[in-house]
Amino acid sequence: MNAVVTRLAVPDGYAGLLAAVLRDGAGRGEPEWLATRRHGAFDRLRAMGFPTTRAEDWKYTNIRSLLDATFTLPRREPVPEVKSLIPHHLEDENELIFVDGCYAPEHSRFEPESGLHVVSLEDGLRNGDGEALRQRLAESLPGDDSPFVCLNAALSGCGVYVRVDRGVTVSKRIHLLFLTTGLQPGVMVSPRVVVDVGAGAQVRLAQSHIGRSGAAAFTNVVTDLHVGDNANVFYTKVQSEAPEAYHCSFVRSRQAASSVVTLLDFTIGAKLARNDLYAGLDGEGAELHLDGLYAVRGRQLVDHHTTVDHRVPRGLSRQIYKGILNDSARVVFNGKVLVRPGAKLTDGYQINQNLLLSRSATVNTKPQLEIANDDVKCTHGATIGQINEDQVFYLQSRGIAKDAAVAMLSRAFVEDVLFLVHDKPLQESLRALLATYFGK
Amino acid sequence: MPDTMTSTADSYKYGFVTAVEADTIQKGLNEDVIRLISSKKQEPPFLLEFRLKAYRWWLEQVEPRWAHVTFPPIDYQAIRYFSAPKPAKPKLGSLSEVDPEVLATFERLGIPLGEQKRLSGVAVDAVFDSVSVGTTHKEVLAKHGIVFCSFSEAAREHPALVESYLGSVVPFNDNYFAALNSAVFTDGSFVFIPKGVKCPMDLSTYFRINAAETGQFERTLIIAEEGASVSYVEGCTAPMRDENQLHAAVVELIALDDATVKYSTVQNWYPGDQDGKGGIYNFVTKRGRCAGRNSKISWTQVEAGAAITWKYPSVILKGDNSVGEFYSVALTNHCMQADTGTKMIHLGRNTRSTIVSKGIACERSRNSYRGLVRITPGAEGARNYSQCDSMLVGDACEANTFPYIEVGNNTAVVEHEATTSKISAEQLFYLQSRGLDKEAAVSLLVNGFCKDVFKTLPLEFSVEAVRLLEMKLESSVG
Repeated sequence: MNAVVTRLAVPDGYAGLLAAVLRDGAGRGEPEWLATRRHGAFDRLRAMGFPTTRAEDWKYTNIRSLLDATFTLPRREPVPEVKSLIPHHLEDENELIFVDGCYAPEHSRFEPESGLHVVSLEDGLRNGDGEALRQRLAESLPGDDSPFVCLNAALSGCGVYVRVDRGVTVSKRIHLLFLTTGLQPGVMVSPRVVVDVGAGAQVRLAQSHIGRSGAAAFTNVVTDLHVGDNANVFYTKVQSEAPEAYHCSFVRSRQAASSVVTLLDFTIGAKLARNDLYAGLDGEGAELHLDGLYAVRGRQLVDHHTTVDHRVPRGLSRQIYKGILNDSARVVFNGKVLVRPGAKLTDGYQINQNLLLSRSATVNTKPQLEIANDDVKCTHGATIGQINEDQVFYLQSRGIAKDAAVAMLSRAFVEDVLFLVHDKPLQESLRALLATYFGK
Repeated sequence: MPDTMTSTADSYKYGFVTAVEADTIQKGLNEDVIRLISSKKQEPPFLLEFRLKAYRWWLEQVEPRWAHVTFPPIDYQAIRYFSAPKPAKPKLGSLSEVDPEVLATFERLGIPLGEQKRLSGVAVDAVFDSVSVGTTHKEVLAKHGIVFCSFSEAAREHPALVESYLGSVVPFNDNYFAALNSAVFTDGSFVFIPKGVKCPMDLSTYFRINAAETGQFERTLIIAEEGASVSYVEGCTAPMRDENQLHAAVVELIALDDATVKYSTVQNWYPGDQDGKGGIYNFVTKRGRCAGRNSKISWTQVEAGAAITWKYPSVILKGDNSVGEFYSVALTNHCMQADTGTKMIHLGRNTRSTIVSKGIACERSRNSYRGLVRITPGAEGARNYSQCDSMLVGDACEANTFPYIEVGNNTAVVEHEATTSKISAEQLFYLQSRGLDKEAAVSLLVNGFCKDVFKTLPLEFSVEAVRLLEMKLESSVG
């Protein structure tokens, strides 16, 4: 038998991108340690290569087409108007807008609040936050060995550093908007988001990736949430990239004792989307609510890999991932719940439910439990099915057209995930975005 | 029993060694060994070809390590690939020619082979190390046209049947251990149920590893023709030894139109001592093909022994309306490791499968369920229900669930549920307050937990399985 190809070489062009990033960084006075970090990450990436479907974590997702594509680095270009790009524009929030991978202060709006520090990565590295940021970036986190996290570390150009002081409740939602306009075809955007939430603080964050149709871009984002004792964080990620786009995302959250984190991953866009998520319950009594909603069609592929890591006693996790598939769309869900040897009194729950609207849609789901402690309660489940014909018939008999009936029932199927979004304006905007999936 | 045997010895009453003269070949594996095995068994040439093909493929492969188990490297050259109790004549005329020691061994294991014991209502094929030593009730079965004999005998007497079905479900290059088995398998059972025949009694094979430094590589092939049905049970034990012994078997089931095959296993190989020394590596490939319409294959397994269990009894649901079932109880204690589950491959229309898996992990053991449910695009109207529950007894054990669900047809309905928890303290307290001691209470609760599986076993084996579990838990609880 021929040797099995288990990894793919880093495309030649990427070295050129790194060189350009380094040159650009040196021109802008990037600190020395950052350049070293970029080199280190790129060397690691080159050593490990990109995975093929022979790798367990990439069993159902082939990234060859992504590696075959040619990408360019973001260029700063003035864009007169971005509002029309934002389908779910929300009032009364702090918005940081990034256009094609560059921070656009002219479009952003931000009202300072005491105890809240928000800086773009670029500014943060130059001003007083540089040291805190350096420490955060130097920390090793689960997922550092992922090739796309390495790629992000090597090439990241834009990003945000959010710090909330101890005991501060931030009143307005902070919305990070990454827009792809299509004006720079094949742009590779590598944002890095670092969030530091002090003990007892409370904050609502949203991170949106939105692309105009025709914008064949590649977004490779890494988001790190560091959540202090008793802190409360609501974080929503919305991915509505262009149908031609590639999207790779790694969200990593570490929670200290008695903190509560609510994460929502909403996916509707991109040709190929890979969402990695690691949630570590590091402090006793931490609580995690992890929800996912996806609606895909055409030849879209969305791949969720989540890990909920119960490391200490009395952790609670609730995970609900639901989605709708149409046409030849494919969904991969691999949800891992780990209970470490000392993590007694853990209460874990996970469910993945899929609704198939077409004959050729495919779901590969693997809800996975790894439990090394006896004093726990863990449950997981997965279902895959189609719409109940009787329900469609009932609605038709009441005079509702078949398409409308199917859309209504599909929306109802995922409604319980939307219902969990306590931030009402955000909930409404997500519902509106979902409506576009049903052609409204 | 020697003094050195510890508490495991109390719970493993099958750990004795029988002193029989054995016909054993040199350690090691090469083409000459394979030719020797083949000639000792007077096999038809196609079988030797099959063995050599498998061996040559195996040589090029790397031992797989993806399972959630750990074990030191296996030295395949340190194994004797053939061991038979002497005076095993080329063909046994009757059981009276079998070494009385061997017969006594089976008596002691509770498997009576003597003709006078045929009232027990189960036909048994007894495999001692590498060969089958006797098959009971052959005449009764022959009247119905049923062939139930050792694999070697089948290869000599029914070569056409063997040639057409051998490797049709588990090809020689299916996986590393199946290839090894295909190269060196020594014996096993062969069952052929002709068209329209319902087998009048349960068929059973009892596998016994006796000799040291051997491996057991048996091969079972069961064919149920149109409308036939059969219930087959296998059991197994081995002496207690400090070395690890490899058991790499292959089981192939074929069910044609309207046929039913029910395959039950009560596995009690020696699991090693309480520190994980010794024990059997149970690396087995079991697969059934529902080839015909309305056919049904049902696996029931009670896995209570072996240092490492690594197997996935599977069903390929090819025929329309065919049914696959998998019921499993896997109990691990001391340092045992189990990575077991099933695969249900839905190809035909309206195919249905049910998976019920109960894992019980005690002490420092590691118990994993790994399963695959694949609904291919052509499997219109397929249905699967899976339930995988794990129970943890002790805070150093591990219970894992790795269910792979691949659905490529929207008319499929697939459900998977899994829970992991410890024994309910309230339930234990309730039973204890009613006067049961802790051990009895745990045993009762575990039995209740496994009931869904036990009730699918043939009656005698169901009783046996309950007793086996109680015995295992005795040393783990309290």
